[in-house]
Amino acid sequence: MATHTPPRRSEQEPDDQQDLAEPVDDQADTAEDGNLPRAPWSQVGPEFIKEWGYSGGKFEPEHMEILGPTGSGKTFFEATVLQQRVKARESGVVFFATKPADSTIMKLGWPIVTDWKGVEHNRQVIFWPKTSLLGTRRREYMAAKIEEVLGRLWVKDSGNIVAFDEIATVEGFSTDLKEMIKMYWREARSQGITIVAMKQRPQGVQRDMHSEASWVVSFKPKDEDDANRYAEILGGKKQWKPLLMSLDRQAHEFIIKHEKTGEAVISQVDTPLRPSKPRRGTYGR
Amino acid sequence: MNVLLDKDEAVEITYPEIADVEDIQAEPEPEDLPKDPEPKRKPSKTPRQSRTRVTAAVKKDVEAKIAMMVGLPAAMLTPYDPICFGALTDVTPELAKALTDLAVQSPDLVAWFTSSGKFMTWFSIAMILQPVAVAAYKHHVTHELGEHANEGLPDGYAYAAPPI
Repeated sequence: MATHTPPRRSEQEPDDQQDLAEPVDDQADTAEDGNLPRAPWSQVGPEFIKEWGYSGGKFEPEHMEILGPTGSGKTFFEATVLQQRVKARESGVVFFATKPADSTIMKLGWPIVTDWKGVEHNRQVIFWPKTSLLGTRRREYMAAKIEEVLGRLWVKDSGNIVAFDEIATVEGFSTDLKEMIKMYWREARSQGITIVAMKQRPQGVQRDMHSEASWVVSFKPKDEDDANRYAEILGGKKQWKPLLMSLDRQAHEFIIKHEKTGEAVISQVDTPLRPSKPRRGTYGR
Repeated sequence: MNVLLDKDEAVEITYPEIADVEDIQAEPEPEDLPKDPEPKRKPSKTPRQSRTRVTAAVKKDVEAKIAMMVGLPAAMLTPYDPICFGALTDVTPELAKALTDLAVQSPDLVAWFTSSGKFMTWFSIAMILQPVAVAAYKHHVTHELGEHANEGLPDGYAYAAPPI
C-alpha cells in the first residue's frame, strides 16, 4: 500500500507519541521499527480495493476480520469497504445483520430481507431475520434462518461476499451454526466466498477466524487485555501494542494489515457513506 | 422505509429511503477494475427450505398436538363407551410420545404440525365432524338410531352403549 504524509495528530496525544506522526520512509511500511505510515482512507481505499481479493491480478477471495470495541467505527468501516467493493467490482454481498436497528447499515441503501427469497432476488442485500420470540426459541429461530442462507450460498464458484456484524453473536445462536461458520472460515475461499466479519472481543472467537483472515483491521482496543490480544493477532505484542494504543479513538483511526505481504498502515475513514441503488435480479444457480 | 411485497411471492423486502438526489454528490468513478464473478445462490425450491429443525421445543409441540388429536376425542367418547375409549384415554400420553418419535422422522410431517394454522384448522374440522361420526356409528353400525333401530335383532343384542 502507498504511504503518505500523515495528517496532524490530536493535541490530546501524549508527546512521546509524536514520533509516529512524523512522515516515514516509503520502505518502512511495517511495524518492525515501531512506525506506521498514516493516510486517510480516501487515499488508501482505492489501492486497497484494487488489491483486496485480487492478489496476483486474478480473483482470489481474501477474508477480512475487523476488531474493535463498541463505538470504535467498525460498522462504518465495514459498510464503507463493502460499498466501495460493490461500486468497483459489482460484487454480490449478503450482509447478515443481527443487532437491533443499525443506522449505519441502513446507509448502504441495500434492501433488507428476512428470508431466502429476498436474498435470491437481490445482488446486494441485508439479511435481517426478525422475530418476537425470546430466549432459547429466539436463538433457535435465528440460527435456523442464518443456517439456511449460508447453506444456500455454499455453491461452487459462489462469488459472494458474506459479511457479518458481530460474529460472536452469530456463533452463539447454536453449536450447529458455529460449526458452519468454522467451515466457512476454513473452506469458503475454495468455494469463491469472501468473509468479512467484525469482532468486539477476540476472546471466544474461533481461531480459524484469526488464522484464515488475510486482512486484519484493528481499531483502538478498549483496555489492556484487548490490546494484548489484538496485538497478538496482528503479529506480536511488542511491535503492535504501542501502535494500537497510539490510535486516535475519537478520529476512529485503525490499523489495516495485509497478512500476505505484511504491509500495514494507519488510516481513518474520511468519506461519507452514500447509499447505492439496489440492483435486482435472480441469482439462483 | 418503503416496504414492498415481491410480486412473485409474498416476500417482504424493505428498501431504506434514499436521500434526495441533490444530497448525493457526484463521486469520481472508480478505476476500471475487473468485476467479481457473477454471484451464485441455490434456487429456492428445494426440499431443504421446508425442513424445520427438530429441536426439543419442536418435539414437545408435536407431542402435545398428537396427544390432543388422540386424547380429546377419546375423552369425549368415553361416556358412550367407557371400556374402549377409557382404555384409549389411559394410553394417550405414551401413545403420543411413541407417535411423536415416528412423526419427527419425517420433515414433511414436522412442517405440517408446526406450520401456523394448518394443524389447528384440520383439528377444528375433526372436532366439528366428531358428532357426525358418532351418529353414523350409532345409525349404521349399532343401529341404535334411525327408523330401523334394533330391527331384527334379538332382545339385548344391540351394543350396550349408553344413549346420548
